[in-house]
Amino acid sequence: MINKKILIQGPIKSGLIAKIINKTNQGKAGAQSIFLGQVRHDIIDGRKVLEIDYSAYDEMVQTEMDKIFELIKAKYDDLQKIYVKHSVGKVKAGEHSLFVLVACGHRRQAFKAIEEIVDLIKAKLPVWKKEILDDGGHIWTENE
Amino acid sequence: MQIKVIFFGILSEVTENTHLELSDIENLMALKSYLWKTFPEMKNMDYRFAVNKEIVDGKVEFKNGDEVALLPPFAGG
Repeated sequence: MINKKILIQGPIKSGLIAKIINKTNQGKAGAQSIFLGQVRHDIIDGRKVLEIDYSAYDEMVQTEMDKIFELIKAKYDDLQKIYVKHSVGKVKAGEHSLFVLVACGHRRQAFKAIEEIVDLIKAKLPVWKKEILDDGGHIWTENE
Repeated sequence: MQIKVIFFGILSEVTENTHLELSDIENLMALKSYLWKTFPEMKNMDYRFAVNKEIVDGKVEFKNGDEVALLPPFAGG
């Protein structure tokens, strides 16, 4: 299964992460792998990135995430649960903007599945980022 | 016939709009030519279209009430 509400306003804080782990540690899983994406302290042409302003096509995020889940579930038979949170709005450099948890019976599939899920999230979720710079300017960036 | 066109990311900046309600645009081809005429900058930009949250390409006929989204390259994570 996968959680229903993917998007969250602002950064993903450690308190929420702890709560999710406490909620997802039941069932038959013997391994949970976790990925945390954070806003990089980047420098672009001598200008510091202060924060990222994320925007998303809310309803499509949910439908695309359901498709990712179906695809992963069909491929990894040891998978028990996926939990994903992605930020919208402003997230400062150093703060977290993506949380992915994969619970499996054993560790091998947990490692493999989480890498694939994070790659799919970056390729398929309709999310955009505006990097806010320290000179007052901004840049729209895209995933490679 | 009416459709709702929504803009995301850099396209909301270029068009100075998050959405438009358009009448009498019957297909994707007609929408493209309307947009390129209204916002010439869009001709050289990279984006895809989604109709009712499904990405589409080629010949697409619209129905009344369709939601057509313009999606610049994704940047999640």
